[in-house]
Amino acid sequence: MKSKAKWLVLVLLSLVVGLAATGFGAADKLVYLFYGEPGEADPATAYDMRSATLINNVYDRLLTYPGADATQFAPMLAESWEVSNGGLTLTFHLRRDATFHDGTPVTAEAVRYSFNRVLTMNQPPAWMLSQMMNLESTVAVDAYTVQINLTQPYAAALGVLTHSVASIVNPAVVEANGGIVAGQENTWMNQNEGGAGSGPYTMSEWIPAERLTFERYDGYWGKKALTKTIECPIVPEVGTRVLMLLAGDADVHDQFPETNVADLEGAANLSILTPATFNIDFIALGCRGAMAETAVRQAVSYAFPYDMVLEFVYNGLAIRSTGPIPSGMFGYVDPVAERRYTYNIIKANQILDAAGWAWQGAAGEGYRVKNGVELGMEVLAPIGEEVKMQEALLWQDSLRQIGFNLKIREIVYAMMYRTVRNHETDGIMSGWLPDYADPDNYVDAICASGNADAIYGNEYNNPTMDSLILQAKSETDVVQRAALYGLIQDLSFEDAPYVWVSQRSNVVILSSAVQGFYYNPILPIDFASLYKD
Amino acid sequence: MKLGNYILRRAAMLVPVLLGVLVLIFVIAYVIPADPARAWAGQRAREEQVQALEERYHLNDPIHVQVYTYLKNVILHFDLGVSPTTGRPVRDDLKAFFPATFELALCAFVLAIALGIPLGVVSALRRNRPADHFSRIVALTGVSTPLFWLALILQFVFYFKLGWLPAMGRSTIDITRYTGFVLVDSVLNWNWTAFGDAAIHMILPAATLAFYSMGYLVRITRGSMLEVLEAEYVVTAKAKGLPRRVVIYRHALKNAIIPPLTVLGVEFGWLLGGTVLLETIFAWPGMGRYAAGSIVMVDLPAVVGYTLIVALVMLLSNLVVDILYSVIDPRIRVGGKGR
Repeated sequence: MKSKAKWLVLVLLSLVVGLAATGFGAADKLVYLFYGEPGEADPATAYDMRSATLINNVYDRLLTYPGADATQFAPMLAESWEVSNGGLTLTFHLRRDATFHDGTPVTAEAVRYSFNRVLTMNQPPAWMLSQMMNLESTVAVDAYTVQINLTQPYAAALGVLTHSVASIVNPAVVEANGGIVAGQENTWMNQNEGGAGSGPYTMSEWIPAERLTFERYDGYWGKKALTKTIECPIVPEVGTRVLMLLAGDADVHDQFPETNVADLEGAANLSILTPATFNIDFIALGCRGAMAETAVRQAVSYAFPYDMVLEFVYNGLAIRSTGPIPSGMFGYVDPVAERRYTYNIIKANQILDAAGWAWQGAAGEGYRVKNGVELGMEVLAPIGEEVKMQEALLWQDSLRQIGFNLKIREIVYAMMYRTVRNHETDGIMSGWLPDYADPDNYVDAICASGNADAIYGNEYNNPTMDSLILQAKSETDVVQRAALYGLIQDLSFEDAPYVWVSQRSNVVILSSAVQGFYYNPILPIDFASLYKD
Repeated sequence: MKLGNYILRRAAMLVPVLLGVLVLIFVIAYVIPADPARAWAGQRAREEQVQALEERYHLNDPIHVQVYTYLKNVILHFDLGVSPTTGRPVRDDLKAFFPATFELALCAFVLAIALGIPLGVVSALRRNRPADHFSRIVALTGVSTPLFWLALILQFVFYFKLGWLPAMGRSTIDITRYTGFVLVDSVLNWNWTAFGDAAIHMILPAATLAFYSMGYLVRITRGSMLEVLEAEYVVTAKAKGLPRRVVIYRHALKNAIIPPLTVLGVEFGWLLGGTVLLETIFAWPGMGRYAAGSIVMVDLPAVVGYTLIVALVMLLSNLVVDILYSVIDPRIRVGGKGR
């Protein structure tokens, strides 16, 4: 009996000590909340924002962007670079003091190895490199000089090299842990870092679905990270994240859902920032059936309640999108009032009247018809994206006023791709998250005839648009290139293959003690600049 | 039939059942009009990358070839494939996530039994008295309260308002994880601070999860006990002047426990599979979250691996219950053939 009592006391004591040990807010540590688990830690495989957060803080690339500015480049592993041969040759001069986390120097050979590794493994993000280079393209001229001979001129090449897929990995670590297998991912690299990176932090721990921990790399060539340990619990439930932020157990949370901002407003220990991202939301119109008519697409664009959606669906945390290029990016042109769509039911009805779509019954009741075909379409709304569903419902209500029958079908992501690609629907509530900060990344995916169909099931096909996109891709003169993107934007207004809805904000929640935060719309959060006052 | 033979016969039945489950999952995955390779590769992946994924995961093969290839890899190499969404071998994922769910389910299970059965017995013995009313209210509340709601309320009160318990996670102290069961590992590390930390983290999710099962057990135990207490042999035992304790615990409870025992096997399976919402709210790194994420992405290797594990544990827990059954009541073992 005595022994039982002793055990009970021991267990209770442990509980008390344990409770004390769970106290948060230890010095030189910052808690960043992950709302979901990163996909992979391997730059050659990873293709989601959370993975990019991990990779960009652990690995370096040849170049980056200076602070919050996404319109010009800044040195990273490359101290300087030149573009020559009509944009076909890129030469990078590497800094000599950069080392991987195991202490070995970052050399030109490591750069060649890293790029060829991506091309050989050919995982989902590899297209970014393979669109402009092949296995012969990267040459180590000497230990610290790399030359990339592009297979075709690509004006966005430097932008591509800022993406996580272009991170430089330590060849020795990779070779010791599975090496490179053509067409296959490296499962070790997917989960570990183990000295493969050269960034300001090392990934010291990744317990799946539980937490990631990053420790400062004291041998970093650049400015040392200001906080020693970044702890990242993975907390999928937004309610739990809200409580943790309010209780002071979490310091930083970005990409916080717009719909929950009200839960945190007024909290004295928190500040809320809402910088504009480069993410755009739009509705892809299939451009077939009734939607093959430009007039119909223009009419439905005028029937979208833009201001209402921005105010009530996005809670004011988004701005209007007016075309395929987001505001703030190179190539964006703020269109004049006549060359942008606004909510105008009268104009929409006038366009449809002129196009021969007549009301079935009395004007304003029922739907319009032409040649026995009822005016309408079906649109897909991905399950789980509340914002997109609300947008669709408001649009549906508005479209009734122009005699247009919108059917909404909710669908899971895995089924959505097949449905869209097989043209088993007419439209999709969608959007674009950029890979790199260049307008080509948008217009080539969204407006070029082949890609628009492959990605959005959008049969929009305008040879003038395709030609402009091709020209802009290889145009090395900045002014002329910007002018081409102006024409592309204007043509996207005229042809209306998409309803351009919004450019979202990144809702960032910071505890009031956190300093050093800056936001670059194309880069994940920079842990190295953060510290607690 | 001897107990050993009985166990062997029951264990042998696991194989065809698991095989049936496997075939069923493949059939379901086959008929779903989804495009998993495209979902895994992402919107901008090139066609050849999507085709490579389809080839690698045998997505274009006929269903019997898919099942055969899977079984061959499982039997010859214990290879459950690589999850296209996590990029890790499914075997490693399950090794990481299964202990968390199992540990939580086990703690909830023990808690539910420790509270549910005594409350049920007390409720029956004090029929229509305040103790009975109290037990019945607790039981009714248990079975009718949505778990996610209870989880949010408990989290709000005990974490946010009182600050007594952590909001999420399994532990905050790093220890060497030998088994993946944090409570066990902290003991193996002889780290009592880590044990306390893990135990503290366990309280809210385990209590929430146990609440429903406890309510259910109270109701079953009470009903069973009331029935047995009116049986003739109990009346005889009482008439013979046996002490009340002996009548209740040796005669009545031994028979009244069989119905609750029957539901325990199923209940454990429910606890194991019913943790998705709780794992999300308490950021518990378990299989429920893994399965939910995998289903959304039509991650076939992960879904098949998860289903097999849950089916296996369900079968084993039912086997354990059946064995306990046959120990308590040896007549069950003979399978109706008579002595």
